[in-house]
This record gives sequence, C-alpha cells and structure tokens, in this order.
Amino acid sequence: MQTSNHINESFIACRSVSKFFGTFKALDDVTIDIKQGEIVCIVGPSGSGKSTFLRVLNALETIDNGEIIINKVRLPGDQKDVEEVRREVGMVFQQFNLFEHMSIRENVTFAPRVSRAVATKDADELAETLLKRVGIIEQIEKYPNHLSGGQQQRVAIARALAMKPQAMLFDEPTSALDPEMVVEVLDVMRELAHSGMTMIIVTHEMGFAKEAASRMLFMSAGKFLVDMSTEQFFCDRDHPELRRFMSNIL
Amino acid sequence: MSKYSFPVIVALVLGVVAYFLNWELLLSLDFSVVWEYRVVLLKGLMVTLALTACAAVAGLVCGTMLAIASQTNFAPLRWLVIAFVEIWRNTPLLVQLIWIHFALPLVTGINTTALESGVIGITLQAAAYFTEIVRAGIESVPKGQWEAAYSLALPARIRWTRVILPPAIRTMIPPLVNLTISFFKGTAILSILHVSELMTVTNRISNVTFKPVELFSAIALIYFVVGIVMSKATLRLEYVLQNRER
Amino acid sequence: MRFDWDQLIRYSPDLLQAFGVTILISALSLLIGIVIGMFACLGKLQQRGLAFRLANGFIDFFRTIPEVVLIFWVYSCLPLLLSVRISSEACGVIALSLFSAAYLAEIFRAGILAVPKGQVDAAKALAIPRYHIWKRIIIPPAIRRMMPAFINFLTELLKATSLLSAIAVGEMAYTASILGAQTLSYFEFLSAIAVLYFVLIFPFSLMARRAERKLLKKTGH
Ligand SMILES: Nc1ncnc2c1ncn2[C@@H]1O[C@H](COP(=O)(O)OP(=O)(O)OP(=O)(O)O)[C@@H](O)[C@H]1O
Ligand SMILES: [Mg+2]
Repeated sequence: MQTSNHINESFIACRSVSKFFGTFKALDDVTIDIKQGEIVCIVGPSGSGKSTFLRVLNALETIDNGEIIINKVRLPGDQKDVEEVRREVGMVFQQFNLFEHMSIRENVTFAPRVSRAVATKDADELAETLLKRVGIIEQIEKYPNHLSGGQQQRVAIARALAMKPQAMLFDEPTSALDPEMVVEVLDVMRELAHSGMTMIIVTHEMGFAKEAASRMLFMSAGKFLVDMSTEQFFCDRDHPELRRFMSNIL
Repeated sequence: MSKYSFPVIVALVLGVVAYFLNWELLLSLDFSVVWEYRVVLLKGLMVTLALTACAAVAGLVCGTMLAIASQTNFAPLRWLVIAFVEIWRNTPLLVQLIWIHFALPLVTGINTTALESGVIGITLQAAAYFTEIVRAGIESVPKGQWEAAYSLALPARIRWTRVILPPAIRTMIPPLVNLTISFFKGTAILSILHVSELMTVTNRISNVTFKPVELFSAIALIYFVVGIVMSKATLRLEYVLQNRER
Repeated sequence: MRFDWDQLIRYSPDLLQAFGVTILISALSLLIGIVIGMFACLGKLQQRGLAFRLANGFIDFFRTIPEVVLIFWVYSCLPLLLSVRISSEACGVIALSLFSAAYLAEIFRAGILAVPKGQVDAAKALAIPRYHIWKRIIIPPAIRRMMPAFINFLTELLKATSLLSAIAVGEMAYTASILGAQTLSYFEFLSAIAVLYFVLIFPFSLMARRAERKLLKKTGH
C-alpha cells in the first residue's frame, strides 16, 4: 500500500511548459501540479490551448520548453519514456476515434494485448467487464459505425480503461454528441470519478463540472488564469475575463 | 536505426553504382551534340507542343459534344458514346495508332500519312478521356439548375451554353489540365509512326551521330522540365480556383 | 475486304505466347515497382531531409518523363553506361518498374495520408508500439483507400507494356505488327490484339470503378 505521503505527491507536474505551432504560442509557460485522485476540469474559450495541454500530457505533441513529470517519468523523453507515460495515462477524444475496421471487442482488447502483453483470454474477460461497466456489453461484436455517438464514446472510455491507467484525460468528450446522449457518457464519467480515478476533463458541461470536479482551471491564451477549488470557482467570480466567459456559456 | 543509417545506405548504393559505371564512356560524353542539333530539337519540341495543343483542343470539342450526346434520352446514341469511350480508354494508344495507320486503310481504302494517323489517334483518345471528364462535370451541376432552366422554358442551346456548361467547366478545369499534361507525355508514343516530334527527331539524330546517351538524357531532361513546369502551374491553378470559390 | 480467320488461327499460338509475355512483364514490373515504390513512399512521408528529397526527385522525374523516353533511355544508355549486355526484355522490365515505382509511391502515400489522424492519435495514446500501429491501424485502412487508384494503375501498366514493342520485346503489339508485316494481314492481327488488350484491361477498369463506389459509400463523401 502506498503511504499517505506518497498520495499527496503530485502525479503530474508541469514546469514552465511552452508549446509553439510555428510562431504561434499555444502553451505559454504553464506550471501546474495535479495530485493523484484529483478531478480537474478545464474550461476556457476556443483556441485557448486546452486540447494542446491534454495532448502534451500524453506526448501527442512534443513540448518546446520546460518539462513534464508524470508518474516519475520525464517528458520530453525517448520512445520508451513516451510509451511508459501513455500506458499510465488514458485519453478520450472529442471525435471518439474508435478503430473503424475493428469490432468493439478488438477495439478494447487490442491495446492491452500488444502494449501490456495481456493474454487474449484475459483481455477478453477484461473487455467484457469494462463494457458491462459502461453498459454496452450487447454490442461487443459490432463495429463502431453501427453504434450511436454516445455508445461509441462509452466504448472509447472502456478502451482507455482497459490499459488500467492511473489517470484519464478527456477532451470535450460530449461536444460531438446529440443532447440526449450526453447524459449516458457523463454518467459513466461520474461513476469513474467516484471510483477514485485521477481525471483531467476539458468540458463545457458546467453542471457536471460543478458536481464532479474537485478543482477548476480556466485557460486563456495558453495560460491558466484561474486555478481554484470548485466551490470557490462557482461562488466568487471577480476575474473579469472569467466572468465574461462564464456569462457567455451559462 | 541511428539517424546516420540512411545517409550511410545512400553512400553505399552510390559507391556500388560508381564501381559498375563505365567511367571511360562517362568521361568521354560530349553534350555539344545537343547544342549542335538545337534547331532540329527545338522544331521537334514545337511539333510535340502543337500535337499536345491539338489533342487538347480537338479532344475537348469532340469530348464536349459526345458528353452532351450521352445525356440524351435516345438510348442507342447513349450506348454508342459509352462504347466509343470504353474502347478507346481501355486499349493502349500505341495499338490505336498502328491500327489507324496500318489496318484502317485496308478497310476504308484511304491512305493516311503518319502525321494524319497520329493526329487522328491522339485526338480520338483525348476525346474519349475528355468525354468522361465533361460528363462528370455536367453531372456535378445541381439538379435544381436543370429544373430551373426547364421551368423557364429556355431553348436547348441557351440551356447548355448559359446554365449548365459554365459551372460545369469550373469543376472540370483541373482534371482537363492534368489530362493535357498526360497527352504531352503521350505524344512521344507517336514516334512509333515517325511523326517528326521530339522523340522521333532524337531517334534520328542518335542514328547518325551514335551519341544515344547524350541525346536521350538531354531530351529526358527537356520533357521533365516542360512537364514539371506544367504540373506545378496546374497545382497553382487548382489552388487559385479553390480559393476563389470561398 | 474479307476477314481472314485462317491466318489468325494459324498464328494463334504466337499471339497466345505474346499475351503471356505481356502478362509476365506486367507482373514482374508490378512486383519490383511495389517494392521500390514502398521505399520511395516512406522517403516522401518524411517531409524533409535527404530521404525526402531523393524520394521526391525520383517520383517527380519518373512520373513526368514519357514512358517511351524512359524505355529508350534504359534500352540505349544503360547497357553503355554499365558496359553490360541487357536483353530488351530486361530493359523493358527495368523501365516499367521505375515507372510503376514512381506512380505506386504516390498511390501508397495518398492511401496512408487518407487514414484519419485521429486513428493514429488514439493508437499512440493507448501506448500501442509503432510496429503495431503500422500493421493494424494504418496499413489496413490505407490499403482499402488506395484500392481504386491501384487497380486503375494496373490498367495503365498493361497499356504501357505495348510501348515495349518499340524496343522489340515480343509482347502483343510487337508480335502483331511483325505478323501483320509478314502476312500483310494487318487488319486481322491488329484488330485481334486490340480485342485482346480490351478483354485484358476492361475488367480492371470495371473493378476500379466498383472499388471507388464502394469506398465512397463507406467513407460517405
Ligand atoms: N497542429 C496544429 N498546427 C498549428 N496550429 C495548431 C495545431 N493545433 C492547434 N493549433 C492552434 O493552437 C491553438 C490552440 O488549439 P487547441 O486545439 O489547443 O485549442 P482549444 O482550447 O482546445 O480550442 P477548442 O475549444 O476549439 O477545442 C489554436 O489557435 C489552434 O489554431
Ligand atoms: Mg479542443
């Protein structure tokens, strides 16, 4: 068992992280710590760098400055470090990105088999457990394009969980969904939050954030302008930019 | 794989090639023959370009007529157009050329010169390919435009020239230009009939000067330069057309 | 004019053999072209550096020069430059392999680039090793997407083999012109091979069109 001391140590630590696209600065000297078990919601205007921040945490984008330490592994690093980080951090995308030419079962079992060397039988059992948990076990032999958006996103969550990650990143997981499907995905995420998973969620679902998040970040122009506990965030809003943003989406 | 492995492989390959090359011949290469015959070669290039233009213009005219014909309700005419297009697209240009030059006169009794056969062959081939493109262009015009033209009772000629063809042509331009470039390449096949285009001319010079390496390398370069200029210009044109639409 | 079936029947073994030569040369050139084309494609996918420049130059050059010029260059220059004897059949295969490699490299590349970026991102995020990403995530959909262009290229390659008659390779067009000149039955022989080419090429055209329709339906554009 881990000591309480260990749990309080930050699981993700960013030190002066900057990211450029050409001359455009998408992340501007970001320094932030995220502890194990925290549920962090990130909000902010379009183009402010929220997706880029998540992608950087999963080494899908390389950083130009600073360093990131995730679970004691340092980024930027070599291919081995990158894969080590990705094994411990799962990611869920706005557009689901399920593997179109694989059945739901293969989608969920593929990664554990090839990157964690899990036996096919065990991977199958794990997939069935996870698909039951997200409520779509009946669809296991179907292909992604036969599923609704909400179902696809739940498969995507199960697929990421199959790697048994210690943290999960969600990039606007419900923005591409019809309103009636948003609930089913948020329910799965809520259940995941209660199970103690470390989560970083980019979302515009303020109701969900208020109820599930333990900490709120407001991003603007590549910087975190606001970093507060959820209660604080939803009570006092004296930050002018944040107030403008909130009045626009609420 | 280190980052040096690729340059090392390249160096090795170059080394092997250098070892097998006939350096004696390579060092005795004399490209002055290209300059010596520049006028003849230039004339050959002009013939090549003229044939290309001919294929493009005559092919486009025939292709447009055939494409319009393929839109009629008269089924036999439609089938005839389809048969023509499929036969000419699915046989090699070279076979078409020698068929027109050697076989056809036996049936018609009309003897054609090499140039005539060549022009007929490449024009018909161009017509077949252009028909497909024009047809796709016409079919890309929204149905509403047709219905509007019909409901206004516009005469057929006006319907085609003022309503259907203008938007169709805009979508057709990039593939048309690309095809024209491929006919530029295709004209070299006419050398099989000894039409005096660039390739034929080069063959002739090579036969009297015995300098094939210099000559064929030089015209490969000429074809490459002319072709690459045309295709880069097409890319540019496509870019401009795309940006204008927005 | 009477259509002389007897001549055709008498020389049908020669035509059949020429048909075999056409197929054989196409198949060989295609195989070699696929191998070289894959390397050229990988080079061009680098987007910068020495490998990219080499691959890009190779592809541009062999796509732009006329096939006839390439065939003549290989036939009349390569043996001199390397001071070895190369049979005209081998010259034909070399030239058509280079031609195929350049076109196939672009076809492969287009197929690979058509795989949505999100698929690769998702695979990377799952820590799937690079080898498996290529094998299971990129290549299968890429092959599906490049199929119409690939089959279409087969028709171009089959047509291009006829150009080898210019360097006296005993394929269909050459055999037919020789037989035509010998017997003066040009019409019979040239028509016969025109039909043979059509019968050989047309099914591929139809297949390419069907593959295209299927793909359009699937990707829904
Ligand atoms: N691959 C890229 N190349 C160039 N610019 C990029 C790239 N990816 C993102 N950007 C730019 O970086 C900025 C931040 O993008 P990012 O996707 O992180 O924003 P976001 O906060 O997620 O916005 P949204 O709410 O629209 O998803 C944007 O201005 C975008 O144009
Ligand atoms: Mg985003």
